[in-house]
Amino acid sequence: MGDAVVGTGRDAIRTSAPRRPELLFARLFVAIVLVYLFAPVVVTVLFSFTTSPRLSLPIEGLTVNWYANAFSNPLFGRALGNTILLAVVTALGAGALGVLFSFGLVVLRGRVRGILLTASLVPAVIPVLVLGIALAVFCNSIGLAQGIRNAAIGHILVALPFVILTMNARLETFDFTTLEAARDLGASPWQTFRDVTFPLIRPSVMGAGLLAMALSLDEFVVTWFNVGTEQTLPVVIWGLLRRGINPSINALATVVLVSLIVLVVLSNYLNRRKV
Amino acid sequence: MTTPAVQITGVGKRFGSTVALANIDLVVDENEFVSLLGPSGCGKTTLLRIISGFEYPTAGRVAIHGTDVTFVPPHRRPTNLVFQRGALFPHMNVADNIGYSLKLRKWPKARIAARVEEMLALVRLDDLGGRGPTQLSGGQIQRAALARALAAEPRVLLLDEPLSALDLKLRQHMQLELRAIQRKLGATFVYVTHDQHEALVMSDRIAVMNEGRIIQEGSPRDIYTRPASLFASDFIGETNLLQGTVAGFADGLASMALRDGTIVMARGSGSETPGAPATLSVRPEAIRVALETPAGAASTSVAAEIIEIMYLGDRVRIEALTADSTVVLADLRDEEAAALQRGMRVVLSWSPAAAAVWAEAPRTAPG
Repeated sequence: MGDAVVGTGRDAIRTSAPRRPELLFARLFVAIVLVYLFAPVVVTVLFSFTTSPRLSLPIEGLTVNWYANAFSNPLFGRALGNTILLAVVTALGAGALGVLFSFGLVVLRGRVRGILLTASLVPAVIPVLVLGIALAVFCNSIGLAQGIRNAAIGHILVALPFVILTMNARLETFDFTTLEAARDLGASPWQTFRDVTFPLIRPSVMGAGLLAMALSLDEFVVTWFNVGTEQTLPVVIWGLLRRGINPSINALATVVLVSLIVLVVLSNYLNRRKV
Repeated sequence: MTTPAVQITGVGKRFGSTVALANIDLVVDENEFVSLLGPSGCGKTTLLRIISGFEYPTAGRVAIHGTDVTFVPPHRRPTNLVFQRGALFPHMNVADNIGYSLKLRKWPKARIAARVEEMLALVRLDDLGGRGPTQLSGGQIQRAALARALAAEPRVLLLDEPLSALDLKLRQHMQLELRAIQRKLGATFVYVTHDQHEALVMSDRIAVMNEGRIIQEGSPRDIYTRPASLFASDFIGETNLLQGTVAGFADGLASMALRDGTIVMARGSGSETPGAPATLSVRPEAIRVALETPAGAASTSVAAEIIEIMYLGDRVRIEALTADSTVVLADLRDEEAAALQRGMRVVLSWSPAAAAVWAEAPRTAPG
């Protein structure tokens, strides 16, 4: 009772402090790091819109021709279709497996839980090169021919640890007594899932799914070893790069980049949302 | 004789090799307020979860109003549980929380709304139906949880330490309110608590539990004034424990020799073997403090020195050190303590009927 919502005094904090010379170096250093981090990306996006086919300054004019050029590439349509298919399959597959696995983990206590959680996260730190080759060899040995199916298996493998990590974080703060409350009030296990469990974890499930999509969208290494003769956007870009730098590559890369940013931002938003 | 609301017969529960409950028999009558009281880990919550269906016993039967429900899942039992921290559904507002069980029963909307209003009024949350659980205070959450459980019209309401997260003043207030609601509805309540004061205030009957067993059942007055064991006397209320050896037994009174040889008297069971270690328990309010040994054989006394005098407002608490170095607490009225000072040599006395001798060495109650 008497719980008042206390406003944050954010506006009161900013005061002007006298500048000290060492701050200048600190700022310079931060600026250099930021340039290092973002310059390649900014250049790519920028030159996907410039008229000059050469990467040169000053910029002569702006155009969307490189996008038209890239989209008219006969491989593009098929690659885009495959990429979207893989992203959706990965989101659903890794999402479903990850959520079920995380719920299973919650039931376990102590050591077993810790060991299983760590084990499930190991693929995230195994080099993707190793994952890609291992999967290719494994699929070959059990007679699964390379193709989109194998690539999908690989994408789910890559995304699953991140889904488990996300769901695990959500379930840490999940009040499981609400599920008992629902059962106590007369809900069957299915009604409990429909009315309580799922509504409470939905934002995190969707966030985890979007994250899986984002991981799938630009997955190259595992795809390359398992997709066979099929194309995905990263594979097409790699193919184009082998024939030299071409501004339509910038356009494709920008498309992938923007999709990724949208997915990651949405995913973060959903994961942070408190019900 | 009417069918009891809850009948528990020979219930036991093991978790692996750990025995959580051993051979519990308990009968709760209709309209009765029964508390399961004990320290944490005594099995009281496990017993409540067995009544609600969240655990199945490994031995024995549970019947509710004559129907065996031992292995009936929680959603098919006529019981509802008020959880320790409410366990309100955070994605539903208070009214939807309260109406959830009725929605599951496919009541028409208007009827649900009427019932929800009725429940909100009962727990005095009239205008808060539209609030989300995060916008409620601790006391309001527990009221809403109570309303949600009662809305389902349980034949037995189970409460799992519902007030333990509240501060003292609110807790005391809610105790009275819960009791009033129970009387008003004529409902059967089974209430789990580790707070002996809470159990004394609210219950018609208390079952004191320890180490997976019910060690005493009775009215609050019985439990307080005639504890059936050393554990019960130590756990319920405050008590002084004096150690010694059994000296003898006559006319319902046991005599016990303190370590310094002083002989003291108290109620005994008659099973005490002379020379065996024993513990005498006597409540602080049963002890009188005098400067000289009181005349007459109706009381028993021990010499002591006052080491502390605490003024507690409604009473004065004396801490005295006996000759065998035991600290004894005595509660006096203000005027009784007026002449006393720290360092005084005094005589502590009590009526033997107000104390009890147990043929066991004392141990501190956990929790």
